Amino acid sequence: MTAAILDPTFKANMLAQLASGTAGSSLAASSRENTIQELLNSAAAMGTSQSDAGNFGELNILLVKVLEQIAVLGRYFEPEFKSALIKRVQDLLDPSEWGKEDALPSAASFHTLLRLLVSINAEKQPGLGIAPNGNFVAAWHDGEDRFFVEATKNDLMKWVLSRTIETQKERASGEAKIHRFFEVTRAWRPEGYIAHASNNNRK
Amino acid sequence: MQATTIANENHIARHIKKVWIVESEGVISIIPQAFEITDNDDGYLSANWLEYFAGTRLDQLSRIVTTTTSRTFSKSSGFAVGNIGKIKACCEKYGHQIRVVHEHSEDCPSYAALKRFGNNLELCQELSEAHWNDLTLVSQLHKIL
Repeated sequence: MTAAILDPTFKANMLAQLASGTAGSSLAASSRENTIQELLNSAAAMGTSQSDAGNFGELNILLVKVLEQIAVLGRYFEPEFKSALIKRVQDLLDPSEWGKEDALPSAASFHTLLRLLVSINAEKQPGLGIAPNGNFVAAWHDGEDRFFVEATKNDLMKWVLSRTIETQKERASGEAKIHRFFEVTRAWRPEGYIAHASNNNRK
Repeated sequence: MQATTIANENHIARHIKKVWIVESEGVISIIPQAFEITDNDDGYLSANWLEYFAGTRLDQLSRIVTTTTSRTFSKSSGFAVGNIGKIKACCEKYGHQIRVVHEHSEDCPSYAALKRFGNNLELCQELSEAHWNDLTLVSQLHKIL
């Protein structure tokens, strides 16, 4: 299976522009709109012209949408954080990993996840996965402890974690809207997962 | 289809798609949702009975790949292996008294089903962290396939 249906040079340029500098402003608004539209048209055309290509077209359209979201909200991230995010998203949406029976990933879920990362000022790069229902899942590890957050399309986060408190392993899970997320999970010291050690005392 | 209960000392392997494997801070783990029953699962969780095949762990996993014709396995996906007794005990903590049964079929001879398993995110997280977490990538198997 080919690696990409979009023109590789065109796509590489798009990704380079997104990854460089402050992504949101690295492309002029009108230029970015044209680029995105061109990518969408290209992906849609290929998706309909390759009848045996499975989810190729849809996944490429999704990739473009997700990259556009990163371009808009990525200005809040450190360049390295943003670059790693782009790389991981490309890897996750590789069409060769997706069968026709798989639920397609949700662009709305990714938007929720991005908004969460901005909201909690995440410093540590989360591992990124996709649940069987198509929702994006962020994962942070802190030693032996783990924190998984599934982003739904409605700003609702479903979280589950393990946390060692005074040698006792605790497990907890719950649901919270983005604006309540840090408050709801505070008892398990979420800053230990998402912030660098020097900033672990932040409120 | 004849179903027989698999003994606790045996092991089961669940196929883990690439997008269910995450890495953070140099640690690789499996997202808990990888162990949730979905609408496509007919009400129980699917796995493969490892000891159905003889040989080393890699031999057994390789045989799962080569004998399962009902699906394909990408090289970047993997198998999570766990002991049935420990998985059962973990499920019981969360109120699920599961049965692990072998259901032989032509297109998947080692197929195993976890009956009476129920979705519970904390249960799935504990399984993925502690009891059903021994991950082998399919790419490692291709070296011997």
